[in-house]
Amino acid sequence: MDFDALAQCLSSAPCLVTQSTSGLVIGLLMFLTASGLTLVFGVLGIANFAHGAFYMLGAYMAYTVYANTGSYLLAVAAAALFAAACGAVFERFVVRPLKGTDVMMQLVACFALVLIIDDAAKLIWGPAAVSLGVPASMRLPPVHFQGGVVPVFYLVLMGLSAAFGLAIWWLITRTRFGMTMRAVAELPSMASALGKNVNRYASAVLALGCGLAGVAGALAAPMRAILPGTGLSILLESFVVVVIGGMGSIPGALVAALLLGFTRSFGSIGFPLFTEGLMFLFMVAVLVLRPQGLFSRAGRTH
Amino acid sequence: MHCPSAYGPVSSTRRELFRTAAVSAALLSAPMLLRAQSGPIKIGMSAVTTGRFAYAGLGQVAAARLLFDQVNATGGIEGRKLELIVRDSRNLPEEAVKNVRSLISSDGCTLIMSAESSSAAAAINEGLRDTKAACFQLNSEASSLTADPKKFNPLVFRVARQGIHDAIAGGAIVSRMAKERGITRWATCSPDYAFGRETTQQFVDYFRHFGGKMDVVSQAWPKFGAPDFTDVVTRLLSSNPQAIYSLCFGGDLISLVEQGNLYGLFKDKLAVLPLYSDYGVVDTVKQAPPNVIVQNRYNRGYPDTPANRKWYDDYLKQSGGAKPHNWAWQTGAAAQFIVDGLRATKGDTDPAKVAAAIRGSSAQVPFGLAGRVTLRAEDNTLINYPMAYGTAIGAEPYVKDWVATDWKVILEEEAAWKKKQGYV
Repeated sequence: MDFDALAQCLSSAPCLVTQSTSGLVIGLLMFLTASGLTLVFGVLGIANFAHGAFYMLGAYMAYTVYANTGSYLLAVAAAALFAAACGAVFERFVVRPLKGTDVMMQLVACFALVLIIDDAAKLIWGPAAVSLGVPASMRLPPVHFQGGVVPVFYLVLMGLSAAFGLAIWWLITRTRFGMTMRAVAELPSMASALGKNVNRYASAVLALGCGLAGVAGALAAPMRAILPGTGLSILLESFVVVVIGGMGSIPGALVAALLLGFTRSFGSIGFPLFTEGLMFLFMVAVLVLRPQGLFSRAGRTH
Repeated sequence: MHCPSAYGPVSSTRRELFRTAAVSAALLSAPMLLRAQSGPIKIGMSAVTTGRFAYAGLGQVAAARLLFDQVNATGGIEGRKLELIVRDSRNLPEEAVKNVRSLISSDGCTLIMSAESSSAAAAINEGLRDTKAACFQLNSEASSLTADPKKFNPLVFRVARQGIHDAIAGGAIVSRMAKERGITRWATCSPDYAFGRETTQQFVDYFRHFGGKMDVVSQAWPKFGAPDFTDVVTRLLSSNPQAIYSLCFGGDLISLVEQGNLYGLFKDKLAVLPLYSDYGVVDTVKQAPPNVIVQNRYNRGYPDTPANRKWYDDYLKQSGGAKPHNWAWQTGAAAQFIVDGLRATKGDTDPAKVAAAIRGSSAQVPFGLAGRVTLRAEDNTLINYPMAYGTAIGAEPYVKDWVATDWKVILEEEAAWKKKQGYV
C-alpha cells in the first residue's frame, strides 16, 4: 500500500487529470461491454456466459475490415452488425431451445459455444495475437491538460462509448421498440397475448446485447492484442460490473463500471498489488449487503 | 525307426514333427522380431496445441517434424523412420504428466519431448523417476530444473535457454548501455508470476553486479493475460523513469506497447523489452516505439548465415506460414540431439544409451553459435546458444546492431550463482 503516493496524486493536478481520464476510459469500455450483458439479463432473464466471445468476434471483425478498407468507422459498424447477427443466431439455435431448462444446461451450452468460437477464431485468424493498431489519423501526440496526459484516441473512445450508451438508453426508454421490449420483459405472456412476437423480441434483445459487446471489442481493438480466448477475462469483468450495478440495470452498470475504472486507475498508484482484489471485494460486499445490486430493478415476473 | 526314451520308444515321425514345429515357430516369429527392429522409432511429445498458447505448441510440433521429415526422407535411422506422436496437454500440468505416462506405457516411447511450462516440467520430471524414458525439456527456463542436485535426473535434458543466462547477459550488456547514456532511474513492468518476478529481480541484481547504477522508481506486476494496461502505463508514466524494463511477452506486450504509445510512454526513454524481438510481436505492433533494446529469441538474421536463413524458410513451409519463435528453435535443437543420439546407438532406442551418447555433445544446428549448441555434461543443460541484445526496428530484419555476450562470462557468473544457491 502506498497511501502517500495516492495522496500526492490526488493533490496534484497532472496526476489527477491523467488518472481520472484513464479511469474514465477503463470504466466506459467496461460499461459498454457490461451493458449488453445486463440488458440481456434484464429482458430475457439469461446470464449470457458466452458474452465475452461476442466481444472477441467484434474485435476480430474490426481487425479484418480495417485491414481491408482502412476505415475504422466502417470496422466498428461491421463489428457491431456481425456480433449482433451472431447473437441472433445464438438466440435462435441455443438460447430458445434451452429456455426453461435447468440453468446448468444453459451454462454448459454457453461454455461449449465459447470453446467452439475460440477454435473457429484460431482456424480463421490463426492462434497468434493480431493487432489492429491505432488508426493513423488518431496517432497524434497526447493532449496535455493541467499538466496531465490524455491520449487523443481515448477522447474519441470516450465520445463513442458515451454515444453508444446514450443511444441504448434512448432506444430502451424513448422508442416503441424499447417500450415493447420492457413489456416483454415484465410480462411475456401478456405481451404474446397482445400479438407481440416474443421470440422475435428475444432475438432482437440478444442481438443488441451481443452487438454492444462487439462494439466494445472493436473500440478496444486498436490498443489491445486480439487473440483466441480474449473473451474470458472480459466476461469476468462484465459480471463483476453487472453484479455490483444490479442485474438488468443499465444506469447501475454505468455507475459500477466507472467505480471500478477509477478504482483501477487510482488503485495502481495507491495499492497496486491489491487492485484486482479490491474489485472483487466490492462485488462480495454488494452481494452480502445488497444482493440485488446498487441499482436494482423490480423482480421479473416470469 | 524307433529310438529309446523315458516315455518309451519315440518314433522318428514324432521327432520330425517336433523339429518341424520348432522350425516353424522360429520362422513365424522372425517377422515379428524383424518388425520390432524395423518398425518406426517412436518419439513422444507433450505440447500445448489448443487454447491461448496453441501458437507455441504448434510451432514446436512443426520444428520437430521439420527435422524428422528431413531424416526420414533420407531413409531414416538404420532404415527406421522417426515417428512423432503428439499429445495435447491444454497447458495443464496434470494433463502433461498423464500424456507422458501414456506415451511411455501405451505408445512405447522411450524418448519424450516435453514442450511444457516450468511447473509442468517439474511434475513430469518427478513422474519420470519411475520410468526409464529419456526426456527433453524444451520450454522450462527455471534454472533449478537441472541445477538443483535434488531435482536432477540423468535422463532429463534441458534444451532451452535459462533465465539465469538471460539475466547475466542482460545485466552485462544493458548496464554498459545505461552507463553510456547516463541512465539511472528505472521502472519495471513484468507479468505477475514466477518467471516475471524472479527474472526481473535477477536482471536488476546482475545489472548492479556489472557496475550499473539502478534506482528502481516504480514496479508494476500486471496479471498475465490482462487485456488492459492503461493503469499500468499511467503508473509507469507518473514515476518519470529514464528507462523501462519489461518481461511481458506475446499479446500482453503488444497491448502494453500500443497503450504505452498512446501516452507517449516510450518517448525519450530507453525501453528494454527482451521478448519484444519475438516474431508475432516485433512484426505485429503497428507503431513501433523508438529505442527498444531486445534480446535475441529467434531471428532469421541472427546468426546471419545461409543455414539459418534456410531453416527459417523451411520452417515457414512446414508450419503453413507461421514464423518460428524461441521455443521452435529450442525444439529444433532437441530434435537434432535425438537424431544424433539415435545415430550413435545405431537406432537402439534404449534411453540410457541415447542419453550417454549425447551427454556433453555438441549438435550442429543452423541457429547455434558458430553453427553448434552444446549439452553440458555436468547438468544436461544447453549452453553456447546465441546470446545477444540488439535494437528493434520496424521492418525486416526487425533487429539491428546485435551485441553478443561472451559465454565465458556467462558460465563464470552462473557457476558463482549456483554456489550461492547451494547447488554446488
